[in-house]
Amino acid sequence: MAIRSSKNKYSRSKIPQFPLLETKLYVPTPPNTLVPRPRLIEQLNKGIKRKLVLISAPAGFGKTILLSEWIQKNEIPVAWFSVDKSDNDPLHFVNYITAALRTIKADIGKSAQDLLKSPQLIPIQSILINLINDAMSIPKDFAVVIDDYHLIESKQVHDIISFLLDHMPQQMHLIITTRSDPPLPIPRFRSQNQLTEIRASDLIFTTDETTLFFNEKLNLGLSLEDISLLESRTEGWIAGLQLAALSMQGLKDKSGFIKTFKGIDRYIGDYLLEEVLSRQPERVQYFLLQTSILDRLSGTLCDAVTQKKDSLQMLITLEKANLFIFPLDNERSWFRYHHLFSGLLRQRLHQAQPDLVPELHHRAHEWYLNNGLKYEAIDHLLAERHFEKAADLIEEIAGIDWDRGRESKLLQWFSALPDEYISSSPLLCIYHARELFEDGDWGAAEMRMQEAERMLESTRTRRKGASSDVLTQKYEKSKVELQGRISVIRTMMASYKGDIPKIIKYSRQALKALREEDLMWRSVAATMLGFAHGWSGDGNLPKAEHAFSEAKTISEAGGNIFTNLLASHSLYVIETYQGRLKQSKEKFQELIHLTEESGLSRIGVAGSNYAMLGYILCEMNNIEEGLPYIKRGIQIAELGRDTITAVGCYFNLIKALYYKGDLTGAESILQKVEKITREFTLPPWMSHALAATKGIIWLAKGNQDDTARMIREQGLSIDDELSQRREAEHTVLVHFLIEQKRIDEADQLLKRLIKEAENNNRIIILIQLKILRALAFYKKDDLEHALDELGQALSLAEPGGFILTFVMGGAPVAELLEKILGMKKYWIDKKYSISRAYVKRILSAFKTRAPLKTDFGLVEPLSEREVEVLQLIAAGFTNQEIAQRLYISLNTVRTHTKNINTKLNVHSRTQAAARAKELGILE
Amino acid sequence: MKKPDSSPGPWHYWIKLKGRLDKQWTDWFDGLTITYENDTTILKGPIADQAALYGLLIRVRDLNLPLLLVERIESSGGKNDYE
Repeated sequence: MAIRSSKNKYSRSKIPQFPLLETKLYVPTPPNTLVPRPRLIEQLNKGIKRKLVLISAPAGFGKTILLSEWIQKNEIPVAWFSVDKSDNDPLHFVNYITAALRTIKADIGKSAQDLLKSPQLIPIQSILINLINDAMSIPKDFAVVIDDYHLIESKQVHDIISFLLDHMPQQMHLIITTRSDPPLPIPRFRSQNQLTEIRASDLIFTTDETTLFFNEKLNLGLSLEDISLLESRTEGWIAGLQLAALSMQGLKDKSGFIKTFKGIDRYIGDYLLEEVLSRQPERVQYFLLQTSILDRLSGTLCDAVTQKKDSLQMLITLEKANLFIFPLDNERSWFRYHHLFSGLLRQRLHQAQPDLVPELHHRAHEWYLNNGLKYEAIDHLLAERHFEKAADLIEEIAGIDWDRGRESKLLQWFSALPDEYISSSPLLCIYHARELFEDGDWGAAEMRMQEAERMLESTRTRRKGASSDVLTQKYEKSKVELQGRISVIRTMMASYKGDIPKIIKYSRQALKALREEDLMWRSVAATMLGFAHGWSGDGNLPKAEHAFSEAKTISEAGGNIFTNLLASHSLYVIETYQGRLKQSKEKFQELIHLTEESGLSRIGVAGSNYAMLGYILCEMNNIEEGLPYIKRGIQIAELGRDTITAVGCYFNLIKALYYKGDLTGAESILQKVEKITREFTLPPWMSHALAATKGIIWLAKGNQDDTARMIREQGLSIDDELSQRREAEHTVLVHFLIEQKRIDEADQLLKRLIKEAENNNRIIILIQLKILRALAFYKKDDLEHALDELGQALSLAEPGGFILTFVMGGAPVAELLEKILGMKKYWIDKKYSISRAYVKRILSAFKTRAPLKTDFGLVEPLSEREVEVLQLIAAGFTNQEIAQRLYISLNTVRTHTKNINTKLNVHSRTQAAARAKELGILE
Repeated sequence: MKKPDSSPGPWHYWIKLKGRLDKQWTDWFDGLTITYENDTTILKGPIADQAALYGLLIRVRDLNLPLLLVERIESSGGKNDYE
């Protein structure tokens, strides 16, 4: 990450400063010889109303200069970002976009930049959405220019641009200059009238413009004939015309020069450069050639490379002479050559003085190193073929890089480094493997890891030009720790594949091997281990808790705000699942407060903090307080376009509505989630949770048919092998079997489920299972055992203060609770270790809410006539008899019964009567 | 050597550009030979793989040399002398 300094007080590594940052954001100013181009300015003024302006033409067609003129003349604020090759890294790219937007409004992207300090795990979309939300606060139209976009080859960066185009606010407009059309959905934007294109044919100089340029701006006094000759020879190519102008400066016989020009069939750029160079004094020629190896030029850097002392003066002179050089800041401390021009110069340098080239790179790398700019130094070291030193520097940078966000150039450097230099250093192999893995090249990553392992295992390590004994010692000391890092990469791979046993295996190995201070690597391993044991993994909650609390400690120590959020959230969820509602409620409140302060509350993942707090409040019978939190969580997740988090929050909402007795509401949310899953594939653990949630709601509605279908479709049976993922579904199966009075089958599965939940301390589910078991015994009229099970559920639930889980058990639970209250104090204390006050609290919740007796989610209430019909049905009359009694036709009775069935969501007369009694419609 | 391209390289290519490019540019184009045909330049020679080909085409683009034709002519028989 290249943002200058981290404000973070925990920041450990010394981060090299990046004085060059601003040079990439510098809005270029038009040159003094500018040929005004009103027709193109007009085209831009119109085009900027659309989403995207694409200026696509080869080098030297005046793309950048056109924009500099437009920016000077228009009123819209413009952010500028000149891309270079290092911006192929998505995080790096977003970082610069953020920095560019800040030139328009200083407070944009604060949380985006916090997120960028995290090396991994953050979905890049979260960062973009943050940025987009911030950009919405800019009150009027503004434009972001991305210059030289052809240097971008990374698909991920193209995806970022597509995402921005699809989601950016209306007032934002993108202008892209490029030498080749970018792989974006251009045809779609074209057809939606969201694109303005300015292409080579628009950009070439017209005869009027050529005349204006040569005769007014440069006062060369050319004839019409000469001008048309120049035009046809260069085909309006602006760089060509400029080179021609430079070649003619000071020439007496301009016309003669232009005529010779006609007969030349060489590549015109080449030819003209030669002409231009030959017109320059020798020291200027040398200066141009020698400094052509530099991407950016400053006075002292050029002094170092040319071994002269007047370079700054020279740069300013060159700028005045229009020698294809542009300032990169207002102070004129940094410049760059026109890319085409420096390309031609470099080519000439390679021909004229090939032996000097490594020496020039050597001088450049030394200057960069002396000025603390290691990144730029590495580029020149590689060009100089000083691989030994380059490898050392890359090793150093790759080490600190991960701690402060990924630096993009690593992969590029690795591919420039000959294989022998990588494959002889276990550390470089590991870093290369990490980069390859993150780039998606798993095969190559695996090969590098194996190479590293082989080296670590063998006693001798070879490396070109270095004593093998020294090197063996160097890595011997850190052998274990390096193996730990390899395990971390393997953990990440396993996590992508969802291979939980492997995640556990490798992350344990890693945590055992890594040093305590190796914070970033440890935090990745710990987080992965936590997930492997957490709600999406094997559900061993004590182990998950242990891992997440380590991840949290590390993130705090490292000041990594995003991993801290993730670890804290995960830790508190695990605490909740272990039944510690009271504690986790406070912790979520605190975490929400923290994220709101840091601006992180708007990233999708943060939404689940609100939803979890809301759920906890609901469970503690504070539905009115809890529901708004859940809704806020959904809003955040949806705004953050974080579908997984949003669905997770919806599950909480369904549960809350179920607790509230609003089954219709719960069902409509279920339908919403179903709709989402048609466009988005949920991870397996979530689709299991969805099936279970459906079952819960259907059972509550008395809809056993659909529940039975779900059980069939999910292939659930009492003999299944148990896993955390399917636990909720199995719980529904148990509940269903109890409803069906298949108590023995239910109990068979229940006993196994209880054992699993106990072994892994999944208290939240254990409470539900014990209540179900109490209901099962109750149905068998075995009150003694029913009381026993309920007592156990209560003792598990009292510390957390669970209320509504019990209330959802309905009348039998209330009856059992009354019985417990009626027992002697001794029994309650000793046998169940629960307090009477707690039992009373639950019972009073039954009374105040009158669950499932009043608001049972009828889509529509029954009409008076329908109630009459229903009463007769329940009394056992046939349709014919009902028709006679009510003086209506048989058909009308049939219509009524049909409506009743629909409203009660049942399929037969008997079911209707039963359901009506259950709902309290009939006595 | 790793080859993302399924077909074994290197292959011989024939690339035709508008205008005459000086022969001294041969280094710039990875040692391809430069010949002329009327007002066009022909770059000819083996290109290691697809990535190298695209890199070369980008160089052509960056010099603003109009590209007329790219053609693969024959396999060099798997002989690899580009390391």
